[in-house]
Amino acid sequence: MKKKMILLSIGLGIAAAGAGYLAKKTGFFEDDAWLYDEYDSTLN
Amino acid sequence: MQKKKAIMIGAGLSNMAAAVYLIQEGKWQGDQITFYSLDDHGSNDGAPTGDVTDEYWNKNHPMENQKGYVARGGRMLNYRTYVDLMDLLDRIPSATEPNMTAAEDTRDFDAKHRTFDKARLLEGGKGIIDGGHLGLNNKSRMLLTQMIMMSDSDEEKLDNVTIAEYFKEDPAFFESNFWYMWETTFAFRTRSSAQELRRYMHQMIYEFTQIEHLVGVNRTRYNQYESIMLPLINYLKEQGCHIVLDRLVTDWSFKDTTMQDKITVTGLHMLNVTTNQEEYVAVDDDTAVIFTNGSITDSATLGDFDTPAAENMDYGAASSLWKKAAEQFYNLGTPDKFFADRDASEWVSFTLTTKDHLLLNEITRITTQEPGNALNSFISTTPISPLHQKDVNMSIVVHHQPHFTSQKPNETVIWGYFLYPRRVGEFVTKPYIEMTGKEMVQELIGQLSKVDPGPGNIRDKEALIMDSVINNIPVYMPYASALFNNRAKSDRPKVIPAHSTNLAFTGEFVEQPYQMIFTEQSAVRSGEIAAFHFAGIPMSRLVPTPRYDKDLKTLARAAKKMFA
Repeated sequence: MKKKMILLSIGLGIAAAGAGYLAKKTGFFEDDAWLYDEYDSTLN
Repeated sequence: MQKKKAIMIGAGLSNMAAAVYLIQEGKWQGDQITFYSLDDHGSNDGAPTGDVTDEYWNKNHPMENQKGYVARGGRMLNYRTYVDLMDLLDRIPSATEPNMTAAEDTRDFDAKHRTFDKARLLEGGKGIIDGGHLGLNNKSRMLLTQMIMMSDSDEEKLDNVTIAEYFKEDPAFFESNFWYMWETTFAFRTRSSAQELRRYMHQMIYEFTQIEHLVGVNRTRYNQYESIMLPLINYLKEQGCHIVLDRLVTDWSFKDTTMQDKITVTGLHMLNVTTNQEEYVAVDDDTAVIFTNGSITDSATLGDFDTPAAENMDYGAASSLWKKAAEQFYNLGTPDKFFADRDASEWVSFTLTTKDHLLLNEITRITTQEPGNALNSFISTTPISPLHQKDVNMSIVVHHQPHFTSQKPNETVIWGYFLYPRRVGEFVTKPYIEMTGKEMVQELIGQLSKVDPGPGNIRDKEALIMDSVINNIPVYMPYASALFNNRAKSDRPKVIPAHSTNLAFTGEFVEQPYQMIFTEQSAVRSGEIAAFHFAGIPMSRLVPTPRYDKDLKTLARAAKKMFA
């Protein structure tokens, strides 16, 4: 039982790491709001 | 850099949007804003033909037949992605519907006339094709997936890559229903920019699942001049803006700086095209200059029923001025990428006006759909592309009637286009660019006859249809797809270029985060950014951009559709 739990945890960990890698690679969490800062005359 | 007055070079959608935001968000008075432009109908236009014959270029090339209507281009809206446009239209009254904003007018009309295209693709011998079957192979799916998965920060990997180059290992992609629909819905050509295709795949990802019916497409009540531009013009005039027409801005005066890296406009040289007098307008320190640096209908020419549209070799009014600025400063882009490669950008369109509904009814019978729902593309039955593949040879848009407020109840207006005008017609054996309006109608009837399910055939009524034609105006547009031309990210200036103290760029030839071009959306947003900059409004107040490309449900649906 314990072994199954360990294997399941490893599997879930790998899946989560894979999803995280994919999200990073595809820019899923990228926020482009800062790209407008250069136009913002109230920030000067 | 905040300013107190603005000079707009160009009176198209993006600069009019900038003016509305300056007035409403910046609390400027209308008389602080002056437009200088050749005309004020925007690139899309739409008018009785007689209204445009005296305009720049046209007046020196008189048309024999000035009847009927002309719309150089045709566009579709999409509320879900055109959020800045809808925000703009919500701020101004409709020009035709009392007590409605221009946005309410469009939403009201659209709710009563939902788009559901039933004959998106047609092919001789097969009739209506099931466009829902995209026809992609595994290689195509893989390349498209890679494109969709490419992050915004990686998109420069597609600098100077054409769509043809991106799919070079998979030529079958260009014979898929997906490509036939995508190229004609959005007007991509094989030599267009893969970088822009990537942006479209991101911003229009949810359209991917419904492209065969164009379910996400929204339309204005009338042509986009009367439903979008006219409300803007009326509003801005009412606010006291100065709209000075018949002016061709020909050159700049810039402030001299040591390294010539600080961009400050000090004056504008222009030609009054009515009097042929040269004029000069000084630009003081309090004034912003907001410049639309290109138009896809620049250098467009008109023919008529018996005359092909002439080929105008002008570089383009707005782009010529852009070029003069780019020659002086290193960070204002590369206009030649867009305006010195007309083989990659030219189209021919036509606007057909008939005195009855015979042709309209025949098209309705053949396509099984009501007017207003249609973008019908005709696929060739023989190879016509440089890769010896089949391709779409012409497309038509059958508008909801009437399409013009002045159109008579018995009249019909239909718009169509040829994405590759040097190709030769199937029924009139000459290049489309050389065809008269009459020959284009003959070609259209020929294409319809190939897909006519009967009984009988539309060709049996050809003589009657030809008799019903009031006029058919061919329009040659050398730069219609120029905004899609192959490019690097640095080839377009930013809305506010680095080191600019008073010059902004707006329209479809500027670089903006995420935005795809050839949409009223990106044009309006560029004007909004320029207005916020010069009026001192935080950019955090820009209309938020929806990111369907980061919506897991949408992505899952697109992935499933890819296997259809």
